[in-house]
Amino acid sequence: MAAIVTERLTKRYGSVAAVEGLDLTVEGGTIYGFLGPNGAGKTTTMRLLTGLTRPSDGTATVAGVDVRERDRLGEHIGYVPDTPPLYEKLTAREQLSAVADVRGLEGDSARDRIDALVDRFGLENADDRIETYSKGMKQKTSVVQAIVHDPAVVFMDEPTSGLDPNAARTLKAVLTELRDDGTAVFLSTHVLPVVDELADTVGLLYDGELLAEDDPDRLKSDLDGETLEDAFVELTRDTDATVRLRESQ
Amino acid sequence: MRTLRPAAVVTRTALKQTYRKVRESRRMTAFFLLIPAFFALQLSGAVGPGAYDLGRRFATGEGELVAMRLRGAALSGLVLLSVMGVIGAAGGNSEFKDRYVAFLTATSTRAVALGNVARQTAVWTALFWPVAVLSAIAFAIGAGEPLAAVSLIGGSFWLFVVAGTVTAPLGFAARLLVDGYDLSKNARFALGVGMLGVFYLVLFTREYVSALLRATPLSWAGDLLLVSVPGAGASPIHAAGFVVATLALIVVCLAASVRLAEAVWYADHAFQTDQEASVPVQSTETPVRDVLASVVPRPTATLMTVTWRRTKRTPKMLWYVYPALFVGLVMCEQLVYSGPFSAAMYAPIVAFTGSLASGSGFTLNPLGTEGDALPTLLTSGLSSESVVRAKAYAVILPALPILVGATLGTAIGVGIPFAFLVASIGVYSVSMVILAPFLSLAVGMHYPPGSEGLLGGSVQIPNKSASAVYTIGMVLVGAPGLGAFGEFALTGTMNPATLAVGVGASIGIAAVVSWWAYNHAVARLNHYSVD
Repeated sequence: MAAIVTERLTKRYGSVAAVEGLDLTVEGGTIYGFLGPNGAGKTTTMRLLTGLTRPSDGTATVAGVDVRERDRLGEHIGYVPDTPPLYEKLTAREQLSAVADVRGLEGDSARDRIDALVDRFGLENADDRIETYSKGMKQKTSVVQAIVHDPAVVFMDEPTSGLDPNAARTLKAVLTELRDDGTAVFLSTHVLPVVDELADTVGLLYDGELLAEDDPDRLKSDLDGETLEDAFVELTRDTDATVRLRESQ
Repeated sequence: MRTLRPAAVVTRTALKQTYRKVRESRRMTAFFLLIPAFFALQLSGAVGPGAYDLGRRFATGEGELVAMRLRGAALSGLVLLSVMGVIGAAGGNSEFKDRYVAFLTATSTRAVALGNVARQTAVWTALFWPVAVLSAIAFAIGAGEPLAAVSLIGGSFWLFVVAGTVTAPLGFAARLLVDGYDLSKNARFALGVGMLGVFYLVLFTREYVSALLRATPLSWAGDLLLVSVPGAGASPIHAAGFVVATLALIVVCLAASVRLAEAVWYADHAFQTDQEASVPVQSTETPVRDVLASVVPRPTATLMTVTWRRTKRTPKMLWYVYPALFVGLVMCEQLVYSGPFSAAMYAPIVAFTGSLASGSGFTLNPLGTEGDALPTLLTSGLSSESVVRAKAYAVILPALPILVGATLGTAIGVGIPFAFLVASIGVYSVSMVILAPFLSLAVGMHYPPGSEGLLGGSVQIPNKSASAVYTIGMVLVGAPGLGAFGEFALTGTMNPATLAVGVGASIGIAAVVSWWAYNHAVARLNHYSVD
């Protein structure tokens, strides 16, 4: 069963279409790099797929659950939004414990899991208040709380934002591990080398529509780009390139 | 259980966040301690007549009258709590916050919504129930009936729970309407002010409100409070009926809160950024600035209009205007409506507290309100004199006609018979309105802005010392004039000599202080260092 399936998924704000007729399929055990310029509709797509906002049209399932059934969706997903959703007066350990608790993880198993993730991510200040953290530390806490329950699908919106190189490397290693364990990782970022390095499939969203979808190497070769950045720039500013790519696919 | 446990975790987490926020902010700690302490002292009878004295009267045979007073207090208290609850619920409690995402993607909306309502109820109860407890104990001691405290304490607790819970869906509904009609920030702010107005209206007309509600089943709240007070004539059946009925109401309101929370938190506007929601303004015409520039130098006119625009788009800056308005309302209520002064006192109170309010907004924090744009202002080449003048004009220009008009209108409206007195009040209001921004600029420049992020964005709050010095300064300058007007409002006879000395002193001191404040603000800005 595919981890994410969308058919003609659409979200409109009044007369403006933030996402238009999106068809996607993301398999379990893969990393899907979701790219697009600012305002393309990436974050809206994430919110649709995590049940935080309702589709205007079309369908979407995540881990086999309709995204409109948000109460059932929660146990299968983890979400790292662009703004870390944290209570700044709590410590990271208190925050993680609370999230684990509402997800049904309790007692020793929750503690062990949190301890392991805290060590893995180098959250050495886990017992300090979140308000004292750097942006990178907050981001790490946000990532850990999204994967504390070992979800089937993880959505990450700019997860490397604010991370130092060491933390970014740790995150990349964790993403690879998650994929190897069968988790689908839906990764939206502007840091194209990360997508180039990790993603099995890349989707490019532009003005709410999926312009292209392929594995990174094929996308680069189809657009005669040396890097994913070249391909991205080519696609988003040259409509002829888009047409050529679609014909080749 | 699938809902209760996550709801309990959400409640616990949110309360922990709130508690630590309060504990670590002196301002909020003071609010949470001093406001209940003030009410506790008043209501218990430690200062002036209160629950203890009612207990004494109850013991000396005035049982029926005292029971009536307590029933009235229960009804008006319930209404006041409900109005406050709606304001709180419609304000922050019903709002979608980014930090909810962690829970909303982890558990059911029901659990998060119930946790939200529980948090609101717990905070209101923690804030004001101790006041009721102390008052109940004071009454029981005064009456010599320890048993009386039982239902007064237990019943008041239940009233807090009811008020906190049943107002939650009203708050969500209010937010749904406000968001649904896409009201501007200013319109929302005005609605908040309107609700506060309702609160004060109920507060000042509490006896009338409780008389109105005496014939309704709401009056059974009084039976619940008095059920263990011997000889108070409370009906246990009515008390039980109130508990059962409100219990059912709580269940209904919780269900409604969940439904409305879904509608509010998952609505499109909850996730719309300001950028997505804003309507681009293409016009570059600046008619107001152009008109102003014909009177003052163009840079000054520009800074004035930018100051107004920033205030209009960050209406929370005006939050600091409220305490002065509140002081004005309390003065009106305590000195005139329930006090010894005649209605003639309203006009000088309007002049004084209106002036106090006008200087409490952005000029009390002149550099903090510039936010991230401060370096632009400091490197713009504008002289310090121009900056200080522009900020002061930005207050004086709108405040002067409004306040002087309101003051004179009030003076004429209440029928002050002496033209000299009316004119004195008018001149007094002019001098105070001019003093307010210069004094607040001086102390606002003197003390660096506070750093608590209560206002959102990059805007900083006024320094606490600046607030205190400004308020004390305004009181000291305004007091001689107020005293002179007070003499007339108390005795009804005009003494021109007293009036001339009192008002003259205020006007003279205001002129001197305004000049000093202007120079001090300029000097501070000349030596300002961004640290």
